[in-house]
Amino acid sequence: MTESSNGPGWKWVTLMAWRDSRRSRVKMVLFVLSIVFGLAALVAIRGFRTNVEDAIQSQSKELLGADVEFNSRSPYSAEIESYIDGLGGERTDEIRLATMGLFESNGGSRLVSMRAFEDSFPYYGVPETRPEVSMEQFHAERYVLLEESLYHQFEVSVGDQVKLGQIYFEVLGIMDRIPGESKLTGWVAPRVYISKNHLESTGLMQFGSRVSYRSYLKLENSDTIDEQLENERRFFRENRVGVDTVEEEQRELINSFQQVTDLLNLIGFMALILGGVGVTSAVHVYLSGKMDTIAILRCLGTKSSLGISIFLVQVSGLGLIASFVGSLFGTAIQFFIPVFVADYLPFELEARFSILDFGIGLFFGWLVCFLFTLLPLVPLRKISPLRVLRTGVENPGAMKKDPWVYLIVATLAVALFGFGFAQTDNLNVNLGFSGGLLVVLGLLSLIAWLFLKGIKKLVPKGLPFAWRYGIANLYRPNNRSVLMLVALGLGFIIVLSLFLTKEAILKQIIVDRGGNSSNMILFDIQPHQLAYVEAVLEDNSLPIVEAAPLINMRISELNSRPVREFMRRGSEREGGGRDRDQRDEDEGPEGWALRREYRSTYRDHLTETETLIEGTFVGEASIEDEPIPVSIEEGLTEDLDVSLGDRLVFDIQGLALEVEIASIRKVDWNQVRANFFFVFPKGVLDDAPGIFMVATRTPDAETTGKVQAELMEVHPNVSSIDLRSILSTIDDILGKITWVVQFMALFTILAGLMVMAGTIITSRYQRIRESVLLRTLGAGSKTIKGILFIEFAAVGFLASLVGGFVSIAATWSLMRFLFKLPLVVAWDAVGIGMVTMMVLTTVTGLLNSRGITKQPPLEILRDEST
Amino acid sequence: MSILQVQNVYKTFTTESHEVPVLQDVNLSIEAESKCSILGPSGSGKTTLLGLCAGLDRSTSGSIYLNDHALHESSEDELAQIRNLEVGFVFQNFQLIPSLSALENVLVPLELRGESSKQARAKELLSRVGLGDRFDHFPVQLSGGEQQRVALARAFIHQPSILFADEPTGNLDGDTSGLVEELLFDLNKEAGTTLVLVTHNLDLARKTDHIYRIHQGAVEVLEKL
Repeated sequence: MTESSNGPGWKWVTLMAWRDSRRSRVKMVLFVLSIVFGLAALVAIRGFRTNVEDAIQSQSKELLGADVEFNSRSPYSAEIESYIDGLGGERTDEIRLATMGLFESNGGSRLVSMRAFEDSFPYYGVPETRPEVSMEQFHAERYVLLEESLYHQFEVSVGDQVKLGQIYFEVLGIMDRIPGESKLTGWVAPRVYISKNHLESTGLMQFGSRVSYRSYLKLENSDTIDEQLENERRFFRENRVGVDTVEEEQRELINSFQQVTDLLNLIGFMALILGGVGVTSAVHVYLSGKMDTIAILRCLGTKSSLGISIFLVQVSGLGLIASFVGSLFGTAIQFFIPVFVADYLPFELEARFSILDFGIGLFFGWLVCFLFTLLPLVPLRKISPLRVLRTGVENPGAMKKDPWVYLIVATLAVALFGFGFAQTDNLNVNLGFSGGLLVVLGLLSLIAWLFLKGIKKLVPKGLPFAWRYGIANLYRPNNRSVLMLVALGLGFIIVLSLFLTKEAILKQIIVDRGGNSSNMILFDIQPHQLAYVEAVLEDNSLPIVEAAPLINMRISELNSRPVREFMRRGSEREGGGRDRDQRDEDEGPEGWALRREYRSTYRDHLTETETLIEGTFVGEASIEDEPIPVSIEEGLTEDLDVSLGDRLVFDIQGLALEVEIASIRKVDWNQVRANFFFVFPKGVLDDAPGIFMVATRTPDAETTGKVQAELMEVHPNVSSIDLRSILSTIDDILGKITWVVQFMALFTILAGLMVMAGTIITSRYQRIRESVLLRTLGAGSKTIKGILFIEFAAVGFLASLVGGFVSIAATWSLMRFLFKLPLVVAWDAVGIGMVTMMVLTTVTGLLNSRGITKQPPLEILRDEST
Repeated sequence: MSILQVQNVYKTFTTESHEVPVLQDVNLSIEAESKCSILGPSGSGKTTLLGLCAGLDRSTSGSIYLNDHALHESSEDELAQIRNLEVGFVFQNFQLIPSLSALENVLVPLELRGESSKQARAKELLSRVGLGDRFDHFPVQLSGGEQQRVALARAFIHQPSILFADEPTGNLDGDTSGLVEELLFDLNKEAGTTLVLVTHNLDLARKTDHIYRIHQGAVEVLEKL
């Protein structure tokens, strides 16, 4: 279309679009604002992902601190030692073990994870400490660096003493970051760092200690190391040695972050689509008021395509504004993300502006917004000029039969899919997104619709006028109540579901179940130390809830086949790289179940956390009864692919013992006590080298600290877990994780509120007319305000009801199928959430209805008629 | 010379259950630069006939020629072009574009021809109808009479061959009606435009040269009353 003497061109169309927008610009900008939040979320996530990937690429070697890392739960065999040495280069070793730390600052103690490393580590990068300390100084004397959480928990200052094993270490500061580890606190045992030079003097390296060994190599040429190690995967697996390279570390980190960003993207997409639907709805109502204008223009000689071009230019411009604002907002948020997620990352994250990410956001944002607005626009091309003579002629609402509408919907689907692909770089994830979104939105719409229907039937007829009228407004034509409920409910569901899930998990592991349940566990007790431990508990009037022997063992044969054979097959299956989507679907035992070290016990009874579900529990047997009848935990039968009657051979400190599965138990792992995969009968392992654990119940944290201190003084190797402090740590970690997701969900809530605001603004004229009519008939402004209040409160109530209902259902699904735990609903949180939702909705509704009752009816009608 | 020829025109509206004939075998010929009016009670088919003659609607059968343009054979876009070139409109309910100022409303027909530089002419016409100080006012800021005067200016701005006026004073009070009528006839005379007036106001109809009456779907010519 060009400007010519025969007719107007784009210049005129643009001029008309500009002119037409003059009296409704604020309203129009509000329409498209609902798409801004979803887009901002997606741009922020994309920017975050780019920054993370850049950081991982640029700090690749610092991630590991070396070129290769080997790790094992037991000292390396001679073969492994020889292999590692054969790789050449420089080598440095680290020992990790769990032990008790006694903090002189306030006399408290806690199970800690001690890392003893050599002065040559790390080869790449430097440990970051507070205050900044010299590593030379650290390795020279008995110094300790603490994880920040310990620093705060025990009110530690630089120079304080911490007892680890038999000796005291002086606190040098906080270890903020060390290559290979995130700053996030350990769940059970926060980390402490000492020089390996002083490890031996702690006296902690003894039988029963839970030690792991790590070796780091700096190679002269690390280019081919991945290929080289890939060929030896079976060898390492058979020797139960883990290997990690820079490339693997990079890949794993990128994969992990992709999973996180995929989840966040899903939430962002929900907000975007929600906003898009809101835009469609608002623009539909807006354009309904433009039908006469189009008819007049057609009457004056405008071609149909030219008439809608005016509004096409308008919505296109609006889309550009929305996507620009959204992309700008998202880019700004991206700069704040590092502040919130720094603790989770094992590397420095620096936010950078990416013109590409901004451009992608701008383009797709515009396209999605444009297509959403195009939906209500295309039917307008069918408006007849005859409408100027007869209002209502040829209602163009028959979108269903319009092939252009189908084309736009298809283009919209392709655009969203394309945007999804640009965000995730993964076809399968993207397909899952699209399907999931459709299902979620469809289901939610259905539930909202059912609730609306239900409420209509349940509302008593004898309610006061304002109540009846306010509720009836929910069913007003073009009120878009279902859209409002979905838009408002969606964000609420995400936030509430996450909160409920977190609370439900915490409630499952809540320590204080009352009665005789334990809240403190002592372990790593040598047989000769057991009597002393029991005496300390007795002196402090503490009960022994449970005392169990623990014997370490590994599986060496399964149904007469050496475990190595299964592992070999597993290695072959895993060969050829680890693609993100690759799934091992082969039958057979799981590798981890074969490789792991089992801590088994023996007794002649089942405990209250166990239920026999198959076979016969044998309480006593003799070593001569080989194969020994043992009881196995239900879940492990699946992982080991075994059933009743199957036989295994255990390697117990070099001694082979054949056992037969005589019974299968269901174990309630949620109860805090010593639970086991394998339970042996008494009389078989009684003389085997083992250690003990004792569970007790302390009345308060003070008694717990006193017992810990007494035990540590005499037997520093005995470790204990105070379940109260673990609970607060878990609460803290879950809180941080859910916060990030909830933060993104906030955008969905904002998008929902904007959709609602847009819907209310577009129905403002209708509300005004009703209000004027009611006032003409004698209704006071108080009654009108009451009606509005009831209507918005009802929307809020229904949205929170729908949201609450779906949240509980979603939490139940997560608990049942993902965490395999029963549902415990935090009703107080549900109640607070619902009330907050109602207040937010009502306030948003009333704010957008201001002025309806303040001016004289005639004045409002004249003013609003455009 | 005839500017509008209506030959054997039928118009039937089809509903779900049956067909409603509105115009039956209408024949009409209107001379250029003449003034005529179409009378008839509500529902008689006056507006339907106006819509057909102005190229806003299509007949069920028959032929309509407007200044030698065969409306019955033209496409939608061709009809739009014909309207822009040949036709001016004045409606009972003014039909101004609410988002445009008075001046912009008047300019639209010219702009649609690609003639966007004739503001002076538009201002002159607005001044002619007594709205020289209301160029930038929007329709809501004008009274009914003022809006209809803007509509008159818009109707004549592009110097159409024929002007269709559908109850132009139907929404106005007595004094305002008189003023609008006067302006309508004066402007029409000055421009030498053919005027087709649809009304049921007998007094207004009397001011035209010819009067046609629609009765039971057919058009009959009345002598001047």
